Amino acid sequence: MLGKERARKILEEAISYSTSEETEVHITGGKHWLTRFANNYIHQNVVQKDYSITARLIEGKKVGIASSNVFHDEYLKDAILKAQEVLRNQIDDPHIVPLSPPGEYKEIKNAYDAKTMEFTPRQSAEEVEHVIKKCKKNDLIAAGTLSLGDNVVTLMNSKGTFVYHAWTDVGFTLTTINSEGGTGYSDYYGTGIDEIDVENLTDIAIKKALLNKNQIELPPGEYPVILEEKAVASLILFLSSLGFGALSHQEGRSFMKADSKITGENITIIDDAYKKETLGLPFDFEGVPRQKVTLIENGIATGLVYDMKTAHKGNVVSTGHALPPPSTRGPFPLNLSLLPGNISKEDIIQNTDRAILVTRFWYDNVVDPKKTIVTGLTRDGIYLVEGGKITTAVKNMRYNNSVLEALSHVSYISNKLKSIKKYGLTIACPAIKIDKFKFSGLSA
Amino acid sequence: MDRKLAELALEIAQSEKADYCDVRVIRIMSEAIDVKNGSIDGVKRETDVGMGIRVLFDGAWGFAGNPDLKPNKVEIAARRALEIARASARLRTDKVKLAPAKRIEDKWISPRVIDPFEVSLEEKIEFLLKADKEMRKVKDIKITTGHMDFRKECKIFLNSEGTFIEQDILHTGSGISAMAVNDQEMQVRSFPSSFRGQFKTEGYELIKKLNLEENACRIAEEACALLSAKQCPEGLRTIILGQSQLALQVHESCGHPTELDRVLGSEANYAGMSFLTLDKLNNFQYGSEQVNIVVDATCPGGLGMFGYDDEGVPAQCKYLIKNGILVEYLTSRETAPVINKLSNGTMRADGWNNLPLIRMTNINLLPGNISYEDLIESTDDGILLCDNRSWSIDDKRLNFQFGTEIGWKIKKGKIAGIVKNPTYTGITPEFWNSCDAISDKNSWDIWGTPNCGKGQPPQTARVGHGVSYARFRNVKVGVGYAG
Ligand SMILES: [Zn+2]
Repeated sequence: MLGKERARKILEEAISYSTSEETEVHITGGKHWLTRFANNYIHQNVVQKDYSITARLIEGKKVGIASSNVFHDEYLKDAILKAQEVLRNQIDDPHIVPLSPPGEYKEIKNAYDAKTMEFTPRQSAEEVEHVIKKCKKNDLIAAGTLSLGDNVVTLMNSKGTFVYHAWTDVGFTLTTINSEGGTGYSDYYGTGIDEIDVENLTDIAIKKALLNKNQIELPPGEYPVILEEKAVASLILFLSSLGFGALSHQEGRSFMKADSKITGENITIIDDAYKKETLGLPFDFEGVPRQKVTLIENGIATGLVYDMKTAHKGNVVSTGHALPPPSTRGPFPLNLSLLPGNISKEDIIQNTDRAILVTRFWYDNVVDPKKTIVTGLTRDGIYLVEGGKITTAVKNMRYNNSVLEALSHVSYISNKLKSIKKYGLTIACPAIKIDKFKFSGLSA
Repeated sequence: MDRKLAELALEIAQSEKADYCDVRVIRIMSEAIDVKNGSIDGVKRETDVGMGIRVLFDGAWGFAGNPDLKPNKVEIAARRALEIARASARLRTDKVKLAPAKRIEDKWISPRVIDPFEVSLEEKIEFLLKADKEMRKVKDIKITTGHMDFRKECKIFLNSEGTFIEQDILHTGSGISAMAVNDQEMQVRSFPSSFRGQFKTEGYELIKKLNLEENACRIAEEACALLSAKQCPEGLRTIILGQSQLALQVHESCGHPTELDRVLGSEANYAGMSFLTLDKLNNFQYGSEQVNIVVDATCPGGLGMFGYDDEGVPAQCKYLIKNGILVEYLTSRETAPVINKLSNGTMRADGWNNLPLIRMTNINLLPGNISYEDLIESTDDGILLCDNRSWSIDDKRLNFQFGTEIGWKIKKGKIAGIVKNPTYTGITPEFWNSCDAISDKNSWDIWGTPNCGKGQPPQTARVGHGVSYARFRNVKVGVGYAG
């Protein structure tokens, strides 16, 4: 892995090649192993390694950006020269802001688990073997992944900023398929290989698939639903792209209306890279320390995330949420949590007279950005809860709902957060019960 | 130099008694230009170089991606691929066997007239800004954007069966969009299609043919008009899909479900499986008799065009759906034997750091025999839906829902005003069986989809869809905004 001192040397050297007024260089990359299985055997098994350097050069009102994954030895200079070439041929950008001066940030401890990177392909295969054996015993077909890797993000600029963060990540996903084609699912995302409780996760997916037989068809319409954590994360995810970033707000695209009530009072959503369920980068891609931001507090729209450009425009300071340049989508929250309530998931089910329990959603997409209408489908097990108990499996359905409206009808929030990774975001969610949720059609 | 290193990797695999090995060395150069509201939003050039080594050992696969093109690093990567294959072999039930493929030595270069990397950045930016200026002349337009994307992929492929192929593939893309915003909503119009525009396997000459500036004012006016337009009504309707929306419809509801790896369960944990199960081959009425769909990697301009796939199998054109019947799947050397065939050449990898998967090339809906004008004229009451805004389909590829930027009402054979926020939903075979007319080759073009996702780790493929306009009866419209 690219260590801190070696990173510092490369970045210093890169900056020394630039003749521009301001120079910012960052490196991202790492090594990842992924063992993938389906039909009860390993069908794909890969190791990937890559690092890429990106230079952003500023001169007057011109910017040049270039990136390259070849930057060892003599190629390092090339990478900088490419950015210089872009800059020379560039036209003025009237909205340009200067690079960030150094800022203080707190290190994120325990983000790197050395033991994880010692795990061998053979050990991965053994874990998978165990999962498959258990599934076979239950007459189920298993498909899934076991992945692990290390990551580095480091950035330096000509104003003296130097930031570095390294971390490991692991993931386990399991789909179980019964003889009727009904499926179950479980997953885990975290930092170290020892955190993955393969035994328990396999049991969850097995139980779900075994329950997912003799599905009944329910007519489309409005139902109370209990959404498990992963399903909740699918909905929350859209809020980040539709309106938590300052750019969308400044352009009038966001659903966020400052200090107005936009969801039920029991909803609080924060972005925090230091929270243990949503560990992230302690700085952003402009080298600015990342702040904790409360986006929705007790149902009121309270905050947005900023990068340097949107902060300049909004006359505030950056919250440290810049994406890599050229960040055309603006700032973005990458470490979201929907804060937990005080009842267990089991008790939510027990307190429910009638509702549909959803394991997860699939292929969710935005229908209307400003109204936060999202569509998608249920997947890997939906069940009818009656009289506090799961009574039968239900055929998959398509939903169309406004996320904000759904979050205005939440009657229960579970007390445990689960971390979910999707599209580069880490989202921690509880399970929730929504009293009104619209299903618009039947699915496979 | 690249060839020598690839041969080194091959030698190591062979000396360790691998059943099969292939090596790809890839050099990718790309440029993305974004303008917004009359100025630059971002310009970025990217270089990406590396080697992918795929090894079959004792009937099981291993893969290593390696960015360091030095002999000692190549050796480490080759041994890693072997180590991984050995680990995979512990759990295999049947040994992987590959369908035979011809030994090939060839060089293939995609057609182009002007190399975009030889065109000055200034010229490109000016070109986009001209269109941008036209859009901003329209009052109430809040956000205007313009994009250009260029990508040149030079790759060599060699395998342990003696095949050696060099390819040089050039992609060009460009488009503009205008957004009108008020307190309640926002409306977007794009040209020539949404999500960064049109993409083809061509050079800079594509940009000159697109007529961005000429269409800029029109789409800006349409975006504004949509703000005060009527909501698309709910109910069962006759719809006509515009080209780029029909392209995505083909992509999601025909391209993906005919991928044989999906059918066989390889993607069960992520992308999902397929309703087009093996028992349906040659006897399933996928669509009406008008519906003819081919997989065609040879189609000029198609974003999925190449000389050879990433297993070294030559580009081909095959019927997937013939007169409405399912007759073929997209296959690889590993999967084709399941249906007693040879690979039809659809194994494609996203760069050097990923292993090849079955991917679409160009999935084309063949033109019908009615002119576009007659198609509209023969429609008594319907909606023409253009330019995708949202898409979603289930993991078996049956239940889909799409939204488009605009709907044009058709009354008594004439276009009669617009509706906003159109959405439509259906079940794949019911939908394609309700297709009663497809317009002819004069209104046929091939559309690029540069962002098709599949696999774990996730890969992005660049694929094409040749389409004209097609009419569908009794389609459920307006569901996204119902209630
Ligand atoms: Zn796709």
